[in-house]
Amino acid sequence: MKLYYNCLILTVLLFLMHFNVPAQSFEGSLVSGMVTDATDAPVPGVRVDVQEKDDYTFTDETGRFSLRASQGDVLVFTKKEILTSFYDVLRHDQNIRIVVRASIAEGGEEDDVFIPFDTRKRRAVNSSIAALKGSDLPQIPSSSLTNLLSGRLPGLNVWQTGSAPGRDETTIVIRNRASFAGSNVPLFLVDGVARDFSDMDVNEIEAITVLKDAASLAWYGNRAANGVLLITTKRGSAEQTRFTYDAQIGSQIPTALAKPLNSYAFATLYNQALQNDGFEPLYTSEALNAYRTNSDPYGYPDNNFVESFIKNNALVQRHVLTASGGSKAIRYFTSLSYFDQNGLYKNAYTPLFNTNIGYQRFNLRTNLDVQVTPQLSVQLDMGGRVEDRREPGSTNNSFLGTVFGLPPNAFPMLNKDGSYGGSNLFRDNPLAQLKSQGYISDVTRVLLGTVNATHKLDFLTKGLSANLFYTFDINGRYTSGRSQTYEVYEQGLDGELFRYGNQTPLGYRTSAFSSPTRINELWTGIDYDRIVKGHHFRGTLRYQQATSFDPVRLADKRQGFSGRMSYSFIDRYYVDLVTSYTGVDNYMPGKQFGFFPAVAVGWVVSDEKSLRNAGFLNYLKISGSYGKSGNNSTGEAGKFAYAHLYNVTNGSYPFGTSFGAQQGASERALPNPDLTWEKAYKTDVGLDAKLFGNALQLSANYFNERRNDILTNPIYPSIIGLASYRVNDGETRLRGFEGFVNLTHAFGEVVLSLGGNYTYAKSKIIRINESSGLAPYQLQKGHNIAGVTGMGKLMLQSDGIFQSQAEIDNSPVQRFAGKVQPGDIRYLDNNDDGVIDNYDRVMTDYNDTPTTYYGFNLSGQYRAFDFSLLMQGVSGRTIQIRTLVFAGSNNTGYINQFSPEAWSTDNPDGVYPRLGISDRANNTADSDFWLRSGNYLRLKSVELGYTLPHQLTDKINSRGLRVYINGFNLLNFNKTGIDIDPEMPFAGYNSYPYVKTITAGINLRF
Amino acid sequence: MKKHTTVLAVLTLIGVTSCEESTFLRFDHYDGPVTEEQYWNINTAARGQLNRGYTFLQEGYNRYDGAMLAAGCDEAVNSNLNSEINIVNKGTWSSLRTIDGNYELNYNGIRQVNVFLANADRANITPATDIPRLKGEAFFLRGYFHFELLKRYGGVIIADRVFTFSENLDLPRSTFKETVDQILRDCDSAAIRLPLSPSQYGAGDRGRATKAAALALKSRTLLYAASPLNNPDNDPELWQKAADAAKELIDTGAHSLLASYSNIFNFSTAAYNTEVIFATAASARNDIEVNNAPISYNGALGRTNPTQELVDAYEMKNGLPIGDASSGYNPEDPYRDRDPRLSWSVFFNGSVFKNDTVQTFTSGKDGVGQTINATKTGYYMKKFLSESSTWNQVSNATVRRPWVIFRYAEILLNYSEAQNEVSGPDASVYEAINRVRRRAGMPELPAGLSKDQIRERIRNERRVELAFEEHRFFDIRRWKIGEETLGKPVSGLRIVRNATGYRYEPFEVENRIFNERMYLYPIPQSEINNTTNLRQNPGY
Repeated sequence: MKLYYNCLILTVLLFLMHFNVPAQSFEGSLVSGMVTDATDAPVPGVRVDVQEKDDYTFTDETGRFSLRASQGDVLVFTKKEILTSFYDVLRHDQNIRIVVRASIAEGGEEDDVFIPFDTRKRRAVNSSIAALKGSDLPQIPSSSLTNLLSGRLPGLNVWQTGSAPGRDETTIVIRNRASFAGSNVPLFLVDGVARDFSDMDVNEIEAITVLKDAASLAWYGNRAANGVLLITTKRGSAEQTRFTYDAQIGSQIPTALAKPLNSYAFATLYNQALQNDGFEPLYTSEALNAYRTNSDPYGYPDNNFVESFIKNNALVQRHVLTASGGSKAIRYFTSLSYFDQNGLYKNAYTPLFNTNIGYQRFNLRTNLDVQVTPQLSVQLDMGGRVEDRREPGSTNNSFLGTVFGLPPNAFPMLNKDGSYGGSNLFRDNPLAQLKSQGYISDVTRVLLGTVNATHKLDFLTKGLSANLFYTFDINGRYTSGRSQTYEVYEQGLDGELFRYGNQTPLGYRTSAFSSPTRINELWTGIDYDRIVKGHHFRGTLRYQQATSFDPVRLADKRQGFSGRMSYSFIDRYYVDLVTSYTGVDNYMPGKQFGFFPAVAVGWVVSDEKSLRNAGFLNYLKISGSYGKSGNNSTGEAGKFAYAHLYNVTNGSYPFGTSFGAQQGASERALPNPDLTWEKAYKTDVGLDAKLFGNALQLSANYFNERRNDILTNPIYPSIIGLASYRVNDGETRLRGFEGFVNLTHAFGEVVLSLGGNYTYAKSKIIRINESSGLAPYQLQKGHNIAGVTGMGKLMLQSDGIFQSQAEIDNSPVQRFAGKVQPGDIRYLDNNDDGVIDNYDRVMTDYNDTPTTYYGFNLSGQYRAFDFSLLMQGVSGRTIQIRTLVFAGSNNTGYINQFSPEAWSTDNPDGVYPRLGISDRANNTADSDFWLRSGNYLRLKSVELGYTLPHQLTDKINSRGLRVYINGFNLLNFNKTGIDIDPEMPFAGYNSYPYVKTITAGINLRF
Repeated sequence: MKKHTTVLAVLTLIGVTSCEESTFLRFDHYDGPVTEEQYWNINTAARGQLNRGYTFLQEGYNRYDGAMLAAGCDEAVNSNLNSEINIVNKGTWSSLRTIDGNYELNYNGIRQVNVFLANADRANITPATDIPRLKGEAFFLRGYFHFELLKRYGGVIIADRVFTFSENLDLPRSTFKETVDQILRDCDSAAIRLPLSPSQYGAGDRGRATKAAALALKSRTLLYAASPLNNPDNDPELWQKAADAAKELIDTGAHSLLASYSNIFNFSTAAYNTEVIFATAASARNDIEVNNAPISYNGALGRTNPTQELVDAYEMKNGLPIGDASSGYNPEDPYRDRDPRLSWSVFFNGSVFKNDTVQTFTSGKDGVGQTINATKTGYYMKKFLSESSTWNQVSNATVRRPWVIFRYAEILLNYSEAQNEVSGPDASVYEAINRVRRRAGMPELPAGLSKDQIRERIRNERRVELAFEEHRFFDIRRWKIGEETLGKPVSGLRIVRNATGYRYEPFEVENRIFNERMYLYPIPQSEINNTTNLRQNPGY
């Protein structure tokens, strides 16, 4: 595979080298014009090139330019952050009007890319780094920033795992899982240090950089093998003072929501389930009749708890003020934002408070740049946020469990006398949970401080500087609220009332501070940057140490050196050497440090003389890197897994007549003195190109990672009598391809831009400890990492549903339930022993982490109107629906909205196995019967904007006013055949619904 | 150029010469845990090592989500039809579908005491005169954990030392006899070091192993060894040893029957009464009631439902089995004049609990089919339940209760059973069983029963006296009567209220499956897969 790509690249190069267009002598007349944006505001600093010629100029402050060109020449207009535009020169062109618009996604090769403690022009980047500007993210009120990244960058897989206000968590994996021991979460760095970024406001962010290959990750040593997301915050500019105000207001709407059965259907199916298992029906025909006619709403209630408690929309809003500017001596950027997300619960107001789930957040950031002396510059950054999460006193999960879990006939919500309804089996009343259980308030306060000082040391040697970087982050959480308990009443057969629970008066919830952590990180060292006759030398060396303090544990500490040497010649040939030597405290002294070297090379092929004028090829760079990085967050509990230690207190035993507990003590788990980090060896080969006058931009990258020393369980018999820590004995491989394409073209006044990114990455377990006695078809080795959530990857293979007793009699015996009957799932006898049991389970490759994920965007601009949309999709993904189809409990007989589609003698075409209440293990066994494609394609975001003419906005001294509407998660295309969102298949069925967001907003600039 | 080279060299040099042993990353203490040397130097830690061994004693109140082992044999049905306990009832039991983690659990317990035994002599235990006794406790626990393995799996790998990774752990199983001998050795080692009975401990140490407990373990082990399952040739020598062991304990006089049967398990006021030889720690709890009380009692789950077969095993108050034509049993009034232990052990229609009447008739508040949790048989379990416990309230009253592992009545029945096999029904056989009957308020057994007849009466007495105490499940197996007791349906009683009273209709609750292989537990497949020498039990 690797060889294949190499050959491909070589072939392309050889092909391109044949286009040696000889340089032409230059003539032409003076062409002049003006560059403006869509609102007619002039755009200064745009580079204007005559294509295929060496002449260029820049636009001035009024957006004007002039240069010599001939008819038939093409002018190319480029600038950082705008889309490249083209103009075909006519004879004697004067006063050309060029309208440009802001670029999207990946930028040009002159863009700055943030790398650890430095920046590079994109063309100087030799490693696999994807970058996105903060301004390219949609202005959508989302409590989690990571949600907005989905589908935007190659190699970055983001999927949503929560949707409740303030808890819309995502999981992020870079490329794909490469370790089966830990969670594969990348390292999140904000301005260089590990900080949570999903709760930041999007307007604080200058750029998001995804570091994927060894040459960019080696800098972080033993903690970066899963990749790094580097967030850089905005800074002020000395050019001018600017203010912005952004506001959005919108609505969140559930996309898929359970549609519960009514009481009559429920009771009928419940009886069917009982009868299937040979029991008498519970509901008499009178009862069924009463449910059908709703003749007695108290004795035979019929509720739709989902409709009663879940609204069809909830308000969300966001407001951001920023100011930036400064002088040569001091520059500042400051931002203040407010975000408010309401929950979807109905009936959540009490006279004293609101118990609806909700989230409010204030973010504040001030970044200062101070030029103290000509030699010394200092950055002082302060970021802070206050997050206030509220949920019902019963807890959100418990409340939703009640709403989605209660059968429709559980009880009347309120009894005749106004008391809360309840029953022997169901004592959680959702109305009471909202009205009479108080609420929980959870306030998080975070303060992030950074000092970054650089002093030039030119007096020692030219190009040398020293740097000191220190952070001070504090974090705290305060939980409080009100609490109360309620009682419910059930009317008995002869009218008497049974009470369950005790009512207590409203009181204050026990409040508590938690996780008061303080994190300090220090990086200090020297930088060197000098160009001598086309030779560009750059070097960086840093010493680092970091400590995380929490009063309830030992401090977490790490330490090390990181260094990087870059050499380039005439901006065409590049070499980088990156190494780090880092240590962390949770390994045995003497085994704490590791050495992580990497090398990267790059060659801008298109700058070679033979290609310089090669027609359609504007830019071509090939690059590659190889190196080592480590992962120490593998989830081994405690700091001392390497030592054989004893707990002086562990468990106690109450001897004696007074039951005074006597202390227990014990050995800790058997140690692994050789415990170490995972080692990842990553190879990357990439190609970046711009073609057809920069209209087509493409990038492709092949990667191959081998990871070893992965923790795996030691195999030993239980007779040893004690658990043991895991051993570093696993090995995996991850390889794949990623790339993106952008195409921009102007059709008259309409500028269209189309882009797409694609990633394919597949993991394979090479070595893992497994029992020697397992059958070969049950081994994990050779399969991919992880499996389907709630099912795993070892499962039976189903063969439809038994239609008759004769079929059962003629099939191998299925040993999961005492009795197999028509309507039960039939399984394949994979080991041909005539019996179907757990030996017939086979290891599969089904996985709910996709192997392929992609996104494509389309954007366009016509005069003052702009439009953009982003589609995002995944494939190679599998989910299970057993959780949905068997939702419920013994108390509900596992009857739910999917039950009408169950097999029965009257419904032999039923897609799900028969209903049943006892001995259900045959049908609940792990099997591929329950698997469905988890692939989806989503309209992730769509936006339509209009920028008001600047003649209008000038009147209010505004530099621009744009109004827009946008939608997020509007549409989903999938093949599950049921009304779910496969990204979160159970959302809206047993947890908070998946939501789409529709927003209107303004952006006002001064 | 020279300058650049210098800079590069410096960078490289600093990168390579670094802190192999960083003081910054070193901790001067372990945040709680201690080294082995420190550990054995701490009195409370060394004692704590042994104390922790006791935490591996298992209770039978809640083995699987509210199910008791009783529901895995003909004593009861679990009202949760999906309970894991049904794995044994439905014949789907296999090495890949096990019903408990006893294999690993007991070896974990054994390691605790082996670690103590290996280090006790060097441990800084004060006063050092306690060391022999503490070792005696450790020997007892080691024997007991091995017995828990033996009764489930047969002969097992004997763990008489602390295993380490550096040795070969792929060991073959010892034979049944070798395992029994190891348990007996540990019992003897324990008996010579331990005080006779709980009363010889200070009030704070009651509940620790005693010599009587070691003798009780010996009695039970030998009884199991002599029983048909493990003594196919019916070697009388084995029965003799079993009888002798029981007699040794009886002759110590350390224990006696408590006058009131119903008070044996009521520990809140009288912890460690004279009948209890050994029990787990009494933890304060109300889950026994939550799981087992009739469903109308504040949302209790009504889990353990005694079978009609068990109820029928209780004799009439006059000492005659209900099947006896002259017993006076009236199927239209089935609970009248029955063995008093029935009303102490089982809730039937009309029983009174917490000043309220239990209604198990079909439309009654606790009746069959009332809710999914309602009794499946028409009965609920009453034994172990406390009137003082409350649940599902804002603040609940919990009651201290241990799980009784050995009690004196069992030893008397052990003796009676073993001695009958040795000598036939001699006076001592009669006396032992009659003491148990007299205490319950039941007449003595009639004189002149044959050896076979009295064997049946002893077996029935065990069933009734020790109901729900995890004896029946294993007694059936050691008597090798699985096919006729477990391989058939269990039944319940449907009670229909009519104008004049009640109508009683027996009905079949569910079918049960029993195979020959189920006399022993399957060894978990993961253990077999991890080793080459460990042999599975036959049939699995």
